[in-house]
Amino acid sequence: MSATSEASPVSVDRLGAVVVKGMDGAERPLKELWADRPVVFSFVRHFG
Amino acid sequence: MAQLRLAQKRIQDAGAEVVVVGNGRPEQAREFATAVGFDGPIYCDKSLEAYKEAGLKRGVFRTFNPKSVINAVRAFFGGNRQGRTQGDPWQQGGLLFITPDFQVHFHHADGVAGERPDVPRLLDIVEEVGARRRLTLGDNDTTAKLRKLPA
Repeated sequence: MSATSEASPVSVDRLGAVVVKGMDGAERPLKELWADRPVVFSFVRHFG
Repeated sequence: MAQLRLAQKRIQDAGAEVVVVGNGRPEQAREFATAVGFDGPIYCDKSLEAYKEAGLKRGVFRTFNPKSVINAVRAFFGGNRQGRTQGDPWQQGGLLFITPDFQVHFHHADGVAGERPDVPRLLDIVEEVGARRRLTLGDNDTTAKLRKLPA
């Protein structure tokens, strides 16, 4: 059931617009995180 | 996560960063960072909107099924202990590699709990992209490395 692919179906514009919260509580859109360098995002199933 | 944590230095050496996104609260993220020994940035998406837009999967039977049990047993005997679930138990994880030009170079969505992404393949891609970026940005030391890459 692996879905590894370099031809991603993801809309990066929509993903980048999602606002996330840092550990300091500050909010920022995801696109700011990859603005100045490439980023490997590890979406974990849950904290635990 | 354990696999990726071990790869973190290679990813950073290639000029990229590892960012963890979880679906709990910031205080849970801090506990998670301590528990797994991750010292990079962690962000929270309690709404699960980022997971949805990242094309990741969610469902009860993705968490509880024969494959996820096998994955859990493998992880346990590999020394990985899962603590108390903090966040949405039905949400599955994944890995994406995104560059500043808004390109997704690697996308993996876990089909079931505990599935392992192809981290060696991810590292190859990260290092290839890093070498090309350094060349574009004027680092001539990487020219020789780039010549070795496939066209």
